[in-house]
Amino acid sequence: MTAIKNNKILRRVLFTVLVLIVQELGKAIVLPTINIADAQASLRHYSFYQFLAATTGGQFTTPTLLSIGLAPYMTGMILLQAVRLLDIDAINNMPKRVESTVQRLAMLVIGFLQALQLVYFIRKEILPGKMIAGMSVNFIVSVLLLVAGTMFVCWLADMNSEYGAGGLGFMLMPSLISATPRILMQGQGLGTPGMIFTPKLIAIIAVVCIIFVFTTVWINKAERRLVIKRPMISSDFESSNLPIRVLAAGSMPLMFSTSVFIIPRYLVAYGAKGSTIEFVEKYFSLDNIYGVTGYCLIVLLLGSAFAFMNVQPEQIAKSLKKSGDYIAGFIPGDVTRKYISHEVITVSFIGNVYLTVSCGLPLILGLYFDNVSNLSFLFSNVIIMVTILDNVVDQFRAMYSSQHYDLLHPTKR
Amino acid sequence: MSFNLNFIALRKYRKITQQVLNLEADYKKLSDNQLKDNTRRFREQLQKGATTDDIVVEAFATAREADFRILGMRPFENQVLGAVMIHFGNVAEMKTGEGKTLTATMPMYLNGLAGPGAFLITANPYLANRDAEEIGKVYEWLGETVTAGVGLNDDDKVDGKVVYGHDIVYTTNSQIGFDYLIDNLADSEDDRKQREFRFALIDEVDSVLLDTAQTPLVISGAPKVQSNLFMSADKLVKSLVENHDYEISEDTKSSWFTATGIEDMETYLGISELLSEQWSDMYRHLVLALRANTIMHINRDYVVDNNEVYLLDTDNGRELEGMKLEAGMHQALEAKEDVPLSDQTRSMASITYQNLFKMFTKLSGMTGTALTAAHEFMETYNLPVLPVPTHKPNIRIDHPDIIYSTMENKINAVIDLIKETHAKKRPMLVETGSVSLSRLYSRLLLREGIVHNVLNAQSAAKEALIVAEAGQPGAVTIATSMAGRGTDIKLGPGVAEMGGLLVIGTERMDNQRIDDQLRGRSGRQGDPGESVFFASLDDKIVIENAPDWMDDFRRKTVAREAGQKVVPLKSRRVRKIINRAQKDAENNSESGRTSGMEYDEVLKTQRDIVYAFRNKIMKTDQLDQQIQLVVNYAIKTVTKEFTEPNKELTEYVINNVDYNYFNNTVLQKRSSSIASVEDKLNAIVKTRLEQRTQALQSDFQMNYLRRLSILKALDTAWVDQVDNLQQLKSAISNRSAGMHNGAYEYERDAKRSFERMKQTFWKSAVKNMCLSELVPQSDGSVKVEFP
Repeated sequence: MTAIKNNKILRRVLFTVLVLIVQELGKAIVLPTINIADAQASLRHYSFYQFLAATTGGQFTTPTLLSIGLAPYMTGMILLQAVRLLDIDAINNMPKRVESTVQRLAMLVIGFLQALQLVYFIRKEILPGKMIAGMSVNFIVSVLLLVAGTMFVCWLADMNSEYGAGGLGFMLMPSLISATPRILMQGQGLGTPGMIFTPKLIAIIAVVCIIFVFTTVWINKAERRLVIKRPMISSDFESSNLPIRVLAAGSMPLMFSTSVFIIPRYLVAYGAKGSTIEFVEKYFSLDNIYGVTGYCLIVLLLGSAFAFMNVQPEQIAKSLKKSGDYIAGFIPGDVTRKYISHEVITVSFIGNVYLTVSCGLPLILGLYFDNVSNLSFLFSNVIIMVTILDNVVDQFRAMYSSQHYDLLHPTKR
Repeated sequence: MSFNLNFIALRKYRKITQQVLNLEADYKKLSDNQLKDNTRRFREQLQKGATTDDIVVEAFATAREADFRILGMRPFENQVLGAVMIHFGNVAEMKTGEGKTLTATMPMYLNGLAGPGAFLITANPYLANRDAEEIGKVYEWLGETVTAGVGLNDDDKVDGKVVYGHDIVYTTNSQIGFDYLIDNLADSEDDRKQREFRFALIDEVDSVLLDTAQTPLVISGAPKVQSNLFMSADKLVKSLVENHDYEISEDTKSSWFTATGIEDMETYLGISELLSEQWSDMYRHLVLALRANTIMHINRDYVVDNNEVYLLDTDNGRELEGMKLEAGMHQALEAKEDVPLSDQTRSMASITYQNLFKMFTKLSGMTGTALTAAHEFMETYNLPVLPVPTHKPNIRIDHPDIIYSTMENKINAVIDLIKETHAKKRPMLVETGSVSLSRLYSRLLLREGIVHNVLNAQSAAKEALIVAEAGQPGAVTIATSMAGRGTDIKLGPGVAEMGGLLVIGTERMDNQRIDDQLRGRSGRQGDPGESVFFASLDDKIVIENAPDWMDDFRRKTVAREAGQKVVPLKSRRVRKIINRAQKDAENNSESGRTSGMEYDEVLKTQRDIVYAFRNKIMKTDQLDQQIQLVVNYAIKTVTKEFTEPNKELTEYVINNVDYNYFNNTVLQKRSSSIASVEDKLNAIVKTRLEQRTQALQSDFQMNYLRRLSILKALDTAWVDQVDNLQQLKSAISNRSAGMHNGAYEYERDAKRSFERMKQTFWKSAVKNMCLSELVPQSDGSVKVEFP
């Protein structure tokens, strides 16, 4: 027991295991107010919806307590970062506690909206019961349960960040892993054909995957370093630098690409004219060149947007200017901002192209060959998982090194 | 909120308080000797295994009775309650004037029973000495030893070893921190002064643990090479034009060059590309000069005294002795004020107050204003905050703020109020935001012919005397916020009928707590009193923290008032602005403290290892094993760095092992591999060390020499590491922009830097052991000279 108490790493890993167990248990608690079997059948019509859930820790095949997953958390975070880009003073100076309260409120609102939407999709399967003010009590209860579920899992994510290993990202792993086989075989209901597996095919896919993992790990670590000069520090120790990652957007474009792509379908599901439905089905499907091109464009656009949101050139240039630091050769202020933005665009372009090709190429090839399309989703998931795990490994490395200081021996690397 | 959980604890404390009070009758009957004997009894019990919690009731009753017999004051019920809270490791919020000094006697007595290790930390040396002397009589009467740990004046030297041998020590936070750092630079066990850190009761705990905890304690030394660019950079910057060549930020906390400014400077200097690598040193000096001239203000941030630049404590306007700005900033100030440039120094040892006080087994505190910061106490120090009800109800009248649009209007209003109040001979305490503002008000009052005192943090002893008189009829006292803390203001004859002491705040301070402390100076112990704060839209706190649109608002308001009689601004919006500005300032301070703490975590891990290693070396008699390892790895490191082993080997030996090395046969044989180079070097070093051992007279001397060699090598390497980490801390905050976790990167780099430090340590240790000289002194002792 003392071994566990003393070993920081072991403690964190155990905590994360506990969190994951709780999460998995929660995923199995079905909503008591719904006719499950019928709801499952109903939800199959909205299969495009599944992928969004998979990449954000939820699942929509069966309505359970934790169905909505972490999407509100992630969306809330992104919204806050996007708002920061506007560089409004009131927001810049928000103290941390107010900031996190605002974030939680955003999560609550988004979670509520998503809960409403899910229950609406399966409204016909709600078990009949009492009525209040014209609304079914079971409807209200279902929504409330879903909201409670998602807020609970958001809290779990916070706990994992503080006491466990891997933070938010790691909690997405189980649903990512479990969704991958299904997605591989059936696609995402966006028009890609299913795959037929032969041993030969599986072997090829495995090899390609492994190569792919290595290239992704390598690209994930690639970064361009802008040298920063700091007049206020007089040590000739290590130069300071501002890293701009090639994958500046991380894997977030892939997490949200499908959800953006299905927005038209989604709006249409609320009851639109037949011709609109046809239009959407035609051009927002991955079984033709228009849809595929659109999808690739979305990934590219999201990539650039997220890259800027993560780097925030304006804020950096401002803070450099204020602290007296500068990038050699560039006047502090606007000139520096333009330079940083330029660097972000060029460097992240490589990363974004990588992302687009990884998920676009299989789709394009899939228009002409069999058994290729769904690889796009496989690669997307792999990229997401690699970036998450990279973070976790970094964290572990740091934790390990902090426990092993010894003045009489060099440290084993 | 925190209250609900503390409710259970409060019930327990009230019960204990009642038990203590119940013993009063019995203890009154005890003779002096019987009472004193209790101390012996308690000590025996503690030795047999009882804890202080077991004997708290009796011990407190003893101290309470002793207080009455020695000081003439018996602690009231609420003071006993406060004492109980303190003993159990809480912060007791006791309003000013409730008698905190007397309350402290009970827990200090109890915790001093186990021997040295009980500390009462107070705000300044004057208070430490005063209380140690006056209150100390009680402890001494009861059979404990007590002393002040810090000299009354700056020049007073205190014998640390003697001080820390006392059961109870009254000292300041900076003194105890410095002593800790210096202890860990000691050469031998005997030189170490401090012992256990068992119990600390911190007076004015919010000021010590929160306000001053923003700056870590740093010992500087090890001067660096001086640069001569400071003067020329200053001259150039003084010739620049504001808004044309440089700009100052809205909150006046930063400034920068514009594109035109850079061009102008390039023309002046006759160069192009000022921002290139080539001119980075010149540019660095220019940036420092710009900040010195535009952001730092004389008499607000620093003063010039005796041809030297002294930093000012922004809270209370006191001169900070021995503290200098880092990285050349101080020298830039000296150039600006045209005083001789002092040496640039490096940090040699540092610790944050948070980590210093976390080392105590039990921590507690008392103050008049803690509840507003309760969550920070809990998060950082695990200290719950509990309120103690006042002995008599508080009847002070606190007026809402009076706000003006400009500083000028506000100052006029303040002077008018002072004139009006003074005419009735009612005493006033006027608080200002800085030393220069104090001087301004003083001049204005002189012009009006009003006699007054100014407390500007020159001498704590004098201040205490002046403050004590501040409640007399006709007294007008001007002070910066921290001046005269710890001294009660008693009301003179007739003052209570006039409504008591009037406290005037001339601006809102950096956080609510300081404002509340000021208010608390009046209305103590149920006395009548009044407080009112003035504010203007020109105040420092508003300018530094208010949103951008404030500027426009101010201008419009001033324009609107033009030509009309000046009246205070009444709108709710204005009130909200002022409150928001203060909240923002508070939050900034808090996050500054939290992030400072996070970075010190890494330094703390390394520091703990180094200090523990030092202690082990000092205590171990047989150092053979350690020396073996050090030599081994030093040689491995050195040989790895060789590019031409055969040539460099000789060089290395002559410079690091033996100046007179002469053994050609060994060196002439060419080595074929790294391993053989290592072996050769190993043999040479081993021979050398044996030679030296034989040359020395005794084992004792040899061990002494070796121990010192290792310690000196470690200390020099560690000093560099501390300085590096200080710099790295500021540098790393930029890296979090790359989505890598800033704290992890800092830890990684700190670890790499630590590895390099280890290698330096090994190499110097070997060099020290091989080359240090023992120089006999005339008095028979032996001095060690290092290479």
